[in-house]
Amino acid sequence: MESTNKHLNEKLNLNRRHFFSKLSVGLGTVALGSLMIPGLFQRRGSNVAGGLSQLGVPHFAPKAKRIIYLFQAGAPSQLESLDYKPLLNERMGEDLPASIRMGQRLTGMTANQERFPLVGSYAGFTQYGQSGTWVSDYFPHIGKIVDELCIIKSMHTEAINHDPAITFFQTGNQNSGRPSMGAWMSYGLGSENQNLPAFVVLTSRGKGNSQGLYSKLWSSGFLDSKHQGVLLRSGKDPVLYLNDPEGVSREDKREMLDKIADLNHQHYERMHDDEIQSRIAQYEMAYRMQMSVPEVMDIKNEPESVIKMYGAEALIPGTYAANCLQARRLAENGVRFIQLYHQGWDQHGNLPSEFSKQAKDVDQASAALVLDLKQRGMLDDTLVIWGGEFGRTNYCQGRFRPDNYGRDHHPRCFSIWMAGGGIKKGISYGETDEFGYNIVKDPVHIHDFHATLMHLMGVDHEQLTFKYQGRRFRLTDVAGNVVNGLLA
Amino acid sequence: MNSVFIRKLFNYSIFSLAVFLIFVLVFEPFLEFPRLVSWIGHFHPVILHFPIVLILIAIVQSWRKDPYAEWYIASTALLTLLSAITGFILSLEGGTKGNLILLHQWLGVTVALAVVFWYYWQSRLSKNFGGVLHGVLAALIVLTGHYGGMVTHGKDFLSFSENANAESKVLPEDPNVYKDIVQPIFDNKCVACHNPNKSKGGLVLTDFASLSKGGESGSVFDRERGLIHRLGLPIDHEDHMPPADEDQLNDDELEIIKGWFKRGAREDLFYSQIGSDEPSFGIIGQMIAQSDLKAWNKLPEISNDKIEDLTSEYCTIRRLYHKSNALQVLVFPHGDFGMKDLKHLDPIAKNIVELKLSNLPIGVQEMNYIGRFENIEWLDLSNSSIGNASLASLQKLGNLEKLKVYNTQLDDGALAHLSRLDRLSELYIYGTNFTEQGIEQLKNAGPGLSVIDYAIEALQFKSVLPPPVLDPHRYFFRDPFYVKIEHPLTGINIKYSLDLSDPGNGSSFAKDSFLIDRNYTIKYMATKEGWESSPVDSVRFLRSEIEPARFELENLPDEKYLGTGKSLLFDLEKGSGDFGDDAWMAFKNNAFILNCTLERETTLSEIVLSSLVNTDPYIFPPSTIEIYGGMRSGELSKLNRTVPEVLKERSELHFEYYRCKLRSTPVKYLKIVVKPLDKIPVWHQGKGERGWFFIDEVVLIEKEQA
Repeated sequence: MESTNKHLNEKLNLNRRHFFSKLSVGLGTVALGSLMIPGLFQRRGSNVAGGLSQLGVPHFAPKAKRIIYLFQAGAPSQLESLDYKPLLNERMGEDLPASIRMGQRLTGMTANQERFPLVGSYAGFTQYGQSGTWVSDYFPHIGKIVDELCIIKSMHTEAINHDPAITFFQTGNQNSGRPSMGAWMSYGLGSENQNLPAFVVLTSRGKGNSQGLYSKLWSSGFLDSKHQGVLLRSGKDPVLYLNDPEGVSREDKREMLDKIADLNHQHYERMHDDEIQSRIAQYEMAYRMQMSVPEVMDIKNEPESVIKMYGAEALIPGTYAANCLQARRLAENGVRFIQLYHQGWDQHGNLPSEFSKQAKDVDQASAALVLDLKQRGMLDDTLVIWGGEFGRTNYCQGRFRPDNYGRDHHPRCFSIWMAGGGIKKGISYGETDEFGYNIVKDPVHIHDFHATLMHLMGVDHEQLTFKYQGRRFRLTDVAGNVVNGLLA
Repeated sequence: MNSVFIRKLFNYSIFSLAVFLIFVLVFEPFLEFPRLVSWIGHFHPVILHFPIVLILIAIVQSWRKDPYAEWYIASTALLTLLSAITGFILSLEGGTKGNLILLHQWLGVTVALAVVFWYYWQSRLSKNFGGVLHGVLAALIVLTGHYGGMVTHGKDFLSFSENANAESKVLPEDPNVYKDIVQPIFDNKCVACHNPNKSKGGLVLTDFASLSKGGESGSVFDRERGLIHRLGLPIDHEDHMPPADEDQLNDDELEIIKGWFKRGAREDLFYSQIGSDEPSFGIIGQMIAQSDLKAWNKLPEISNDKIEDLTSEYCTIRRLYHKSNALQVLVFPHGDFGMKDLKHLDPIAKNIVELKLSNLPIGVQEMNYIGRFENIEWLDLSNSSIGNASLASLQKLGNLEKLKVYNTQLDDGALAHLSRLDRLSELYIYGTNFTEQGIEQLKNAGPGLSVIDYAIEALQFKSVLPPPVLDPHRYFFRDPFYVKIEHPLTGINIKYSLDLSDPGNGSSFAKDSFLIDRNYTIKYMATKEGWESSPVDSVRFLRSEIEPARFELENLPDEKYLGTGKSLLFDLEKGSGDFGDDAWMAFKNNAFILNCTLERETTLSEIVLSSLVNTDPYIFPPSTIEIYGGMRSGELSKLNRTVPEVLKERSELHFEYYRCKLRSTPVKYLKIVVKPLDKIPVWHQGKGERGWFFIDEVVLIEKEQA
């Protein structure tokens, strides 16, 4: 701590010397000097490029004010959900043609397989809505709302394993350490409600094969730690360590916080470490959350019609359906970024049975969330996203049987859907070849996806930056283009 | 201070400012100004008046051979440079620079550098060249000022035309493509030569009727020779329109007109009828969005400090976007909400475009006050205590577009107030007391209004009830206990049976609780009107009568599934479906061998091993179960051998109980040996490997005394 502080002071002094030496030369050079040290007159932390925009305010009029991201952890198969490939059923069991695979890299789990038998979806597909979109029979409720959705069939990523792939989706980089999307939004747009965090995380777990989820996925990385996602747990202690110990009254707590804040302010005066300010703010936030969180999470006043819509599982805390309902309540209360994770989508084997259970967990509640937002007039300014971290192979992993098969990881194409918040509705974007292996039209990379999300939120993804370790970072780093074809 | 020093000071300042000006122009793309410097830019409108006057004075004074002319020129140069630099800094704030700004910028730079040149070379200028320079300077400063004026006051500020305000017209949400989009383009670019007074080529483009008549060369709609053809010709072609020396159509305008023609160039084409894949759709969409912003540009200026002052824990005030004076105000419920909270917003009354007051007590008085916030476009009164009468105040909100009153007590009494809101386009009323006729009336109130009463799709959702839950949820017991059957929803009919029959035909659970004192299997389900009945759930209660005095495992469980150790075998706790939890232990390579010493000699009738099967993760029934017993530890005889059936197909996760009946031999010592499956059958992907054996409880059942 002492050494970073020293370092910080040295840097400040250097700048000041620099400043004064320039000042002596003349008026013109003062301005020149300030150009070379753009941060000279700026407070540390306001790192927005150009100093022309203000943190906490969108760069331009936003279409979406908040995002609910229904992350399907483990990577649900696009071939059993949104990307209909009848050819795979016709050529069931035949080998994947080499002309399609084109020698592309496979994971270690199937690279040594002798054969790559094509396998079609166990479930049938049905056309829904005015758009006549094909949706698998595992998702009858999603099918019913297909005219509200924008289905992207041409997502692609470089990551081939779960953790790097999810990390990529959440932070814009496969290696951990960067701030999560929600943290960027909190940093760039601030909170709508001073009594709740801007970035909230809810997790649930299906019965399918699942992979780990780590809190680094909702970390604030190098951003101020107040932007970190807050995990709300089911049960009587939604936020760990938030409740006061027995016997401590609200007044006592207030007094204690005031005293601690005094001490912290003194410390800050000496050290000038912004993390201290951040800590003071977090204590205050926690104090307010002691009241606001239990209130938001209490669903006893939800009418039965709403419960019925989400499915009765919404009554069981910790289920995906309950989390969807919570997400709507949090959105109503001004939470900027609500991140759900539903685990259990990693079907290397036993896909038909596991997938049907997973789909059952999420189908009705996801559709209900979209409709519930719609009937509250919130779908216009809330962006809902449903999808996993990559796709699954069109060939079978392990023993091949038409009624019981598995699919390996496939980063080259996968499907997600979005709804609301400035996204075109009732369309499918992008196409894959008829084998469902490669993208043939309008690919959307994760960086493009991020750029588009930020655009919808009124943020220029190239302008929202944070300087760290000597350079400016963005969520999209040095890539990403807004996908105009997705915008309404 | 002597004049030499002052002259030197002027020389250096002018030189460094000139260098700086050139520097910023050259390096513009790489520049990033700190806030203080941006702020300096705001002085441009003040400083710029000096050069305009000073240049003229300096010219006159130098012609009059004023001995102080030199100083006039010096101050002119200094202030012109400052004016140019501040102007440049100011121009960076606006984002991408338009043509006007660029023109103004380069003119200004030229003036500044010309004055600098004049300053340094004044003594060396010939009379004639000096005259030319003065003339040029005077002309340039007038032009620069003129374009500068256009930048601030708008292009049409000085033009004398009826359509001067056409550009700032606000577009409706669904504009008519001809009237609102195409005609303004004609007005801008064509009408100057094609109007009733001056109709070149006999063509008039001021209205749809004249347009349809065409001109001397035929119909405008003619594919070969009409409008589209002419617009598309290369600019140097004789027939290209507009003529090469006139203001040309830009790409967006071309796309819009092409799109309109593609759709038959109809007078009654609306934006919403254009397909979203057509290029003109996106362009017009952008125009609509921009036009909305234009209306917001007229809102009174509001400072960040003011916003910060009025913001509190329960009242969030935010600009809708950077530098916009349109504000979003969210008021969150708190104990003492009242009029003061609304009065508090008075300083920004005209800036509020979005206001959220959901879940708050809003009465007539409050609504009346909200009437002052005349620019509200989006108002959320959902879940509030609002009543019919207070909606009268909505009349004052002439810009209201979106109104949320769902989950309120409103009823048909509010119809009159709601159907009179002209600009209202979205109304959310689900969870209110409107009658069907009332809703119908609202839906017919106007073509521009969509009424959202309930998500129709959701009505088609079938919802299955979750099964009831038992409290306590227990499988094994020693002492009799009471159990309740509960359900999280109210108004549920719980059905159950105790005889393994379908509970649907069984009796309804009406008691508070009932006594479990025997080995029951209880099956139960929930039913309710309007819901699909829950699936049947069941619990098998097993009375574990005896806990051995001592028990030991000969082999440790596999290290991955140690559970809480051997004590879990007699702890009366059932493991969950998540076999990784601590209530389970598992064996694969070693046999499960349990040695028990009973407290006293006992005659057992049955031993039940509580287990779990799930073939996907290789959990199978064991190969064999053998039970030995006797009165002395060294002399045990085999009491039972059970060979569970080998599975012939995949089996999903379920609990399994292996019941081993014993011959009526009194025992004090027991040995239970379970051998996990040694070869997984061929149909499984792990064929030939060993299977797992999971166990969470051993139940010893005493022979019932006759």
